[in-house]
Amino acid sequence: MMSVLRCLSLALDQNSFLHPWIQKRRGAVLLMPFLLAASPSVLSDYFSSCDVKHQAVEASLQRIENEWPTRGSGDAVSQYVQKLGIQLAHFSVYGRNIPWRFSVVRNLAPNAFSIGGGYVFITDGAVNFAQNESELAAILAHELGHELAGHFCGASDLSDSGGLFDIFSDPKIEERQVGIGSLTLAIDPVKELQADQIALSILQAGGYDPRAMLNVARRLPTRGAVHPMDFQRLQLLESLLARIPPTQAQDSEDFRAVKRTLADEREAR
Amino acid sequence: MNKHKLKVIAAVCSGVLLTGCATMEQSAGLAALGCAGAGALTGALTGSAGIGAAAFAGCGALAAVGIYNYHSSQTRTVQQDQKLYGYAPVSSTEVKIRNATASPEKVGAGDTLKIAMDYSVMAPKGTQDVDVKESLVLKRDGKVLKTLDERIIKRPLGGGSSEVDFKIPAKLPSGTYVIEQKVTAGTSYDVRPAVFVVGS
Repeated sequence: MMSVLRCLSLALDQNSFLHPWIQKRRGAVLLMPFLLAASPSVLSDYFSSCDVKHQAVEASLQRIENEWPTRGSGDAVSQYVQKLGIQLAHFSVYGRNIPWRFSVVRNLAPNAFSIGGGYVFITDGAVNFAQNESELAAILAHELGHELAGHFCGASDLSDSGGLFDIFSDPKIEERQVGIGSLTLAIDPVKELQADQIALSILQAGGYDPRAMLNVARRLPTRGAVHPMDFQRLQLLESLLARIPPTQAQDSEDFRAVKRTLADEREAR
Repeated sequence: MNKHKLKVIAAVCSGVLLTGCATMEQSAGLAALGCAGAGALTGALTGSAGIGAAAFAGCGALAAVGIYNYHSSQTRTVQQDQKLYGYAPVSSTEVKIRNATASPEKVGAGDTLKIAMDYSVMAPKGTQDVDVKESLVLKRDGKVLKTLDERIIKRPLGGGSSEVDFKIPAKLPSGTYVIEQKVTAGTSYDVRPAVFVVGS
């Protein structure tokens, strides 16, 4: 445990050129691996204090269902994404206790987000965007990371998804409001970094290539997306990945079948 | 080459020709040529003139399928649509099919099948209308038989409906078919199947 913290601390120390807000919030950044590696009882205590506003989650879910076309649960793409998401969640202790529900939105723009309560949404465009299964796993693992980091604890709606780590961050600084449909998401760079770090741990534990997280972040659209490319984010990911050995991950047949299905659908369009 | 392999090749080759047949909406002559090829090849490779003739008949029937009486209208204003389906003003263009039907559910040769769908068009404040692509695809056993219709129409925001009629051709083989109705606007799209049965 301490070695992990020392390693991360070193990464941050060596990157003194990082933006001041990252330096200022290094406590929050450093705490995440501790939570991931902690014993189940520690995690249980931590998360039992998380008061997820179920009404807020239900309200967001209702709006999404009323507005967005989603693939049915019997759809092959949906089934694969659900299976992959659950598989990834099981690589974290707390993740096993959350009733995860992954939905695929019929939209060709790459996007993915979570709304709390274990609900994760990913678009067709994001599945298309992933060049290999590790990249798709990275996108899903990042969304799992928001949930596992407690970013929805105490949130009364999506634009108020503050949590434990808000005590380290100044919400007035560099927080961006992003609209998706009629929902507004608050994008806090610190929370994005926390979600990235959890995603790296999950990818490593699951045998996926953690570098996929960096590859995805490098290719993110620079404007108008939920997760706009962030130079600081890339720097931190590079620092963390420098200490993780590369993993050779093979795409599963299920992943290849889903890519073929989506390619056929695109062609039919 | 054994009989099983021949049948597999026949199915694949006929499938290719049938697909060609299904997509040649603009040329009935070329479509018929593709169908004849499919029938002849199927017959030759399976050694059964009957099977070949059936393939030709099915394909010929598809070439004859056409839509008429296309009708579209706005059925709900933005405010009415928002109230009915409980959504708020959006920041990106979205389409969502609310209902898709094919009626009657069971049809025979010469009958008219009415295909209808109702959908919502949502877009950021200030947008008057949106270009929506509507398409209808005929499927059987998960395979695309023919793109029946494809058109781009300008839709005001809110709820809209589209209806088209199909005359069931005499030679369309009996069985269960699916009309896949699709709408696309910007990067958002929705798909909904409507099932009908052709029987005697």
